Amino acid sequence: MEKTLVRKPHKKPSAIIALVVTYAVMILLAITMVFPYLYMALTTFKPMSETVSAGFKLFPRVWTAESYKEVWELVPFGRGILNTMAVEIPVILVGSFTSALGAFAFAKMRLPCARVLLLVLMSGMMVPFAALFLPQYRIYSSMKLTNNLLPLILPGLFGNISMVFFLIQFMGGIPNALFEAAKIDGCGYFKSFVYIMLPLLWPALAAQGVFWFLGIWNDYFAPSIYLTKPEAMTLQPLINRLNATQGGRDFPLVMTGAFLSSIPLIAVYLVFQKYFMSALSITSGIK
Amino acid sequence: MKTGTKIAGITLSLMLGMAAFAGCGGGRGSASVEPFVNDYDPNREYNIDFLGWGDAKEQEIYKRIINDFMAIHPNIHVSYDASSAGEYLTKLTGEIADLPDVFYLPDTEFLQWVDGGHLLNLIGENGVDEEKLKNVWDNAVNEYFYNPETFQLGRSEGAGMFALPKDQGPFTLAYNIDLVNQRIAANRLEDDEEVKALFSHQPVTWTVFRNAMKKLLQGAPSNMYGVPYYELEHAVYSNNAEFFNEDATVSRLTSPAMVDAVQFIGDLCTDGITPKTGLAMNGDGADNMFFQGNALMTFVGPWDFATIWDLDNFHCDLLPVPYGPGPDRQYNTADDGKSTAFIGSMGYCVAYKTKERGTSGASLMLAEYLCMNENAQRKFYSFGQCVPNLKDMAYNEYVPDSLGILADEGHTDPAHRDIFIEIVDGFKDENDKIGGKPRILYQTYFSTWRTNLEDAINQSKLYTGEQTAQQVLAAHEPSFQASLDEMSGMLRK
Amino acid sequence: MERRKASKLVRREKLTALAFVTPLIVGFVVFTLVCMVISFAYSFTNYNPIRGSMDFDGFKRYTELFTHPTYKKAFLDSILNTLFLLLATPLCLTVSILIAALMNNKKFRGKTVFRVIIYLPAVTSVVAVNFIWRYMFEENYGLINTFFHAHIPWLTDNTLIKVAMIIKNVWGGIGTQVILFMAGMQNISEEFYEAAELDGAGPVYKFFRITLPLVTPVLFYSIITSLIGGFQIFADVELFAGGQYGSRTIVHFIRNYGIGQNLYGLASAASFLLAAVIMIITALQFRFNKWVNYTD
Repeated sequence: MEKTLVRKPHKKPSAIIALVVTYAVMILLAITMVFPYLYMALTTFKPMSETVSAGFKLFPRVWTAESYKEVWELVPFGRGILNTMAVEIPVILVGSFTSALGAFAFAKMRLPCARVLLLVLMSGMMVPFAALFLPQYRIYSSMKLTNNLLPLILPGLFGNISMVFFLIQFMGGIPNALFEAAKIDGCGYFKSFVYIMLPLLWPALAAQGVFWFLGIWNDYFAPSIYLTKPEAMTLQPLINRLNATQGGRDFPLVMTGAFLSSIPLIAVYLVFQKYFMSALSITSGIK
Repeated sequence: MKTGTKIAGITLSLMLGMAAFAGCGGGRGSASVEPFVNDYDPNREYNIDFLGWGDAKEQEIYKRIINDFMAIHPNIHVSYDASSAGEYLTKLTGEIADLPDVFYLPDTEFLQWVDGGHLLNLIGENGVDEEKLKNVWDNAVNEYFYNPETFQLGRSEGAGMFALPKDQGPFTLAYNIDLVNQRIAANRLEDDEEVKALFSHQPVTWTVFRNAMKKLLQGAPSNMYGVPYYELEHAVYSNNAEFFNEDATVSRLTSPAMVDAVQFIGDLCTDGITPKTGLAMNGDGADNMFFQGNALMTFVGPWDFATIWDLDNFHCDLLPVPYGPGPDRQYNTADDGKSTAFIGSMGYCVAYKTKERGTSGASLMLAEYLCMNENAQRKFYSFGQCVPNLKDMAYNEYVPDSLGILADEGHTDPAHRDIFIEIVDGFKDENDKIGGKPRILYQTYFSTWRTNLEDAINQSKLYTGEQTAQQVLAAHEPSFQASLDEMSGMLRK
Repeated sequence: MERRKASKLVRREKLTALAFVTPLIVGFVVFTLVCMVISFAYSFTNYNPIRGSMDFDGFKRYTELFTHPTYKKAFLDSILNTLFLLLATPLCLTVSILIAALMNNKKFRGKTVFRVIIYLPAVTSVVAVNFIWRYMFEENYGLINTFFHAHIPWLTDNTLIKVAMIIKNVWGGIGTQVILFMAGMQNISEEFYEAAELDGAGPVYKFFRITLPLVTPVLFYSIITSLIGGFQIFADVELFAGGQYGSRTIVHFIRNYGIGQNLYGLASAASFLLAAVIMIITALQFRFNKWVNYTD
């Protein structure tokens, strides 16, 4: 019965029902996803007393911009964004490149012991960070790198193993023939990486890049321990200083910090999302 | 085969070597009570690192007070860093080899840190001003004494003082005034003796507490409770009971007073005074229940009033916690419990390392200023989250609000601020009915024994009445004793 | 002569490949391996940085996890809880791949809106997300119980709390996974679908015969990384479940019974046991990944 769905202009009732059900599910899902964000946004306009004493209410009874005023006074937002971007830009640019280059060697070249090497590199993800933190802190601290952005930047420059793994998998779907041809042409590996692979990698790089960007933007634990001077802090530890206010009970204040810090993320996402959705014709490259 | 063992041996020693590198400069291994040597020289310049925690607003207050300090002592420059409460101890542990000159330490961590030898004894000829210290709460001061020879906490022969109290957090019951009045009116309890006794701001017995609560809750909505949960320490302390013996080596879990204390918590659940979650209710859940008018009372500390002042039409006042009959299980005998709340506390510590750095004297000056300078203490209490450290200020200024600081800010709740002060001031004499003690974790090396005990109670059938406290505690006692043995091994090795 | 030239080329390719992965290896050794080795060494000692103790104790920390009365029950329960919570992974991936396929369908209208919506949970404050989900599961007046006219103790029952966490984690994982699957589906040439359509294939056939097989490389990635993450679930225990007994995971154990007590030896031992299990499972998956379709 589905066979007709694709081609015939008038659809069978069952197919229409299927489509309706699909939309219903998607819309329901969408509501659950919008709802928390909406709640966060609306809470920023509530006075603190409403969130503590009234149970669950979506809309403020009394609208107030008090929280925005307070966040403005307590959080040096500009400074925080500047510091965060000082981490984001080098890490995402350099780190994505090193990740992609490494992934290319894994996926499309004869790399000795590739599988074992990949597993070893991934082992870093398998040990809980809590167990690695103390030695790491000691090392940075002995190099006098606390209250400094370098502990947050340096590791990222050498790539991100999760991204490497994703790119390897993604490259698995790109025909080897493209590169065989290049080899015969005498095109160097690096050149074939830059000119053939990178352009095809955009959907994957954009998707992983957005997540990495998000991860750094929202990273809280390490920055809050390495950075204790407000002027050196990235955005999240700064915003978290609102959290402890009155034992974290000033909910609107916390939400305002979170809401404001989410806006740049949405902007970045909107810029990049067209890459991982717009089909790049891979096969047209082979002909 | 042989080379294999050799390689394994080399690898292992290499690993241990690296670990030793990363662990180096850690604990000094033992505390010492050598007298404080004041190395302060008014003609020298000092840079003092001070690490604490707190939210943005609290950090502002600290900055102001530190600026006052630096204005008085222009040759001391204080660099103030603050992390968030959740990450603070992790950070401090990371810095163990090179601790800041002055730093916070919660009393529950004190034993491990003082025993590790990281804290400087502040008593000495030119050490802490012991005359001025007499004006600070005795309980608070005693808490930070420790004798490394006998492993004894508190003031004793040969003990040193390893921190100055930051502030004292008495944790007691607060009731929602309007809600209680509604319940009284609804059940016509205006003349009920037990209800009147409960709200007389004097300690009542557990029996009166339970009876009065039951009467108040008659006809109340099914999701309304008396208290969201009942603090374990308050039940134990106020029944003259003990978790363990004096030096925390022998379990007292199955002693009658301890059993009764836990049974009291179970009875509150079966009575419907607390929800069936018992001890498992977490802080947020309890607060929400109270603020939303679904609980007549809850446990609060001074810091909670920052929230309460901001609420519209929400007023509450303090009560001392009720007390139990004591080990003989009879009221009106000599061993009756006394209304005892726990007091959360934190200390300002001076790092042992300041001796090498030559900053001990300047560090102590900062700690003393924060702990007992009048202006600093006044600023702290007007900020509104703590009671003053200084006895005279607390009694003459804070309780009557003689300078009108609290009234100006609209911070008039709680009307019975004196109960906070009564708790902090401890038991002064035989007739003193209200007092407080440090949290039980202050006395032990680890906190896991407490988690396990609460889990054992929460996971049992105590709250439904299918099991008695005696059964639950007896079943848990072997594991409890093993935890005590483990901790005692840490200390006395 | 030809062979030697070929082998020389192969060697050059291998060396170039090694050069390409050098940054990854250097970064791993400097920033991760060193810390891992140190932490691994801790696990054979009684290391406590506050006490300053570091005596070699052999495998005592490892055996303590399973035998010492203070740790045994908590550790074993945390393992069971963690395994239960891993159920979220297959559920989340199934839902996500279906949604991604749906959104990849040209016939599906409103893609742009959904693409943005799918991303919103990732940028919503964790505090807000947990607050709302706690409200949904609240026993007396929560949305779910109100809807079904029930009094289910979602947040206090030792099993139901895990069910609630799984539901929340499936929901929370969809955004990321859908975006990754959508990226993976860009690798699938339109020609495959056009050819199938000419043969009269319907959407179900196309999904199982074209989309699913060709997205297996990304699926493989998602399974492995979700499992690695799932074994280390921690934040939800505190933020969502409030530390409820039935919600405590292995990493929660490591933090509370190990690091929180300054027992770094114990924390490291538990961490490396966990890491070993994850490593074995990952290696097995790599070994048996014939079901993953790579373009040759």
